[in-house]
Amino acid sequence: MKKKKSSLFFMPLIVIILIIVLVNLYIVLLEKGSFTKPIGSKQFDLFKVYSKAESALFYIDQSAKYALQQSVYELAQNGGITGIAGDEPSSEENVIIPNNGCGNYYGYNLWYTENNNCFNENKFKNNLKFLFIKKLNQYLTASPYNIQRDNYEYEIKDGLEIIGKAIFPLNFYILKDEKKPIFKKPTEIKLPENQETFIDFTDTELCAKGTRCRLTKEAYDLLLKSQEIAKQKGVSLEVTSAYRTLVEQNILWERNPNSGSVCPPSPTCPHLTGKAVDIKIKEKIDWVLLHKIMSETGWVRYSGEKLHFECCGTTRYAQAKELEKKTGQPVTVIA
Amino acid sequence: MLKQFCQTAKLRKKGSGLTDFFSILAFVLIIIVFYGIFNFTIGGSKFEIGQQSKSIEDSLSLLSILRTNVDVGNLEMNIAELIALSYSDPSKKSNLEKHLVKIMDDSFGASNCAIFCVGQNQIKTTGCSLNTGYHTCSSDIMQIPAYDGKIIEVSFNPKIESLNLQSAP
Repeated sequence: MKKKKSSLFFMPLIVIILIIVLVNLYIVLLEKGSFTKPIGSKQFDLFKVYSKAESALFYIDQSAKYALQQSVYELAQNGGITGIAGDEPSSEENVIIPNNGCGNYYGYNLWYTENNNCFNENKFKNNLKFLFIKKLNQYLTASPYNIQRDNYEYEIKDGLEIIGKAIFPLNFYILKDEKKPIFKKPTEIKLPENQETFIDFTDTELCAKGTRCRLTKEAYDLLLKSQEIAKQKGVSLEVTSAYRTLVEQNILWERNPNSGSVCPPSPTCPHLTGKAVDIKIKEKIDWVLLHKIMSETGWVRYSGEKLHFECCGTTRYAQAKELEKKTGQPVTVIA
Repeated sequence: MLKQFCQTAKLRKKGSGLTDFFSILAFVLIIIVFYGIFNFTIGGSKFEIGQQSKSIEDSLSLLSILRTNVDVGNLEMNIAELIALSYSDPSKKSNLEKHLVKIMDDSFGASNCAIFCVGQNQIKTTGCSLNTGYHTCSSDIMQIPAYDGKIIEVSFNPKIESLNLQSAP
């Protein structure tokens, strides 16, 4: 009889336990909020990013192929000689067409003259590398993916095989929240080769697509002020080159040595201090306005380049300030 | 209710059957009520795994096709290059179509209807000619470079269902 009595309460007890469990579950889930993404979607996001990365790598491969084909063609047309531009693709105005020493005959560059032998295979290789990088950068800038420019170390192997090794890896956001803004926030970083505090503002509004942008905190703060002034004038600024490592400066130097527009690799080079920028106005080409905006916040322009500005104690900046003291006039351009 | 429930059980002495009945009824009702509450307040979300995996498979197939090497006038190039070439030289379009149809027929079967889209241009397998319905490009677009630095959009839809073929917009 006792057994029968207790069995009477078994099922109601189950029901009561069920109610307690479900109410608790409801409270817990209510605290967590509603599901924004279904279970399993993150795994699919990972697959999608893999697929996207493969597509980006394929884009780079194809771009490199076309860039090489076009560079070889263009170089062959000019007898192995090319216009050597300044260290930035945007400084097209500074293109210098070098004389290879033997001059030209009816527009064709000469390799030999009676007294001179101007055939220099290494120079041709450098010219090919320079043209290739320039053309590849154009392809990468146009790409729909965020691929960094000037991010490869090149080696020309027998014949026309160019091997490019990426300096920095490609970054893809796997669990990117679509609701968040596209621009990243600038972050404070420490570089092993430099004691100062740096700000990495890559992928922010101030940094050109495909560029790695880092500056010292002091220079970055000054740049923010310039951006504020630019916005007041209805435009916005975009950095095309900021801090460079010695390796990066070496690459630039190798492809364009002794041209006068690239600093010979040394820690004193302006870009290596993190206090120099190559900058432009995003909406239009207006060097006068750019100079006005930058000089208002204390930047000093290098006379050799319309887009190169320095601040905060670089050698050129110090020279400008000294000159200012002597003359009593503001110095915004320095040689 | 529980008291009444117990009294009934006592009166009948062998009333466990009735208790079980009410309990199961209450159990089912609670499940239904809470299902409704969870759905209305926390809400559920639909996630079609089939659709997701198809999209990934299609983009990998597209990449494989673009990487496939073909002979074009004694010159070996991949499909992506041939697309770029036909973009700047329209006379190469027939060559591109011929190679693409062959690759798709070989990979997905000649009876299957698959569509490869280059921009607005649709290249269909022979299987599509059996159906005169409406064929669409996939919404998963991949960008490849053209020789002049412009971007060419390509997409691939490997298995067009017969239902879709019949329903024109």
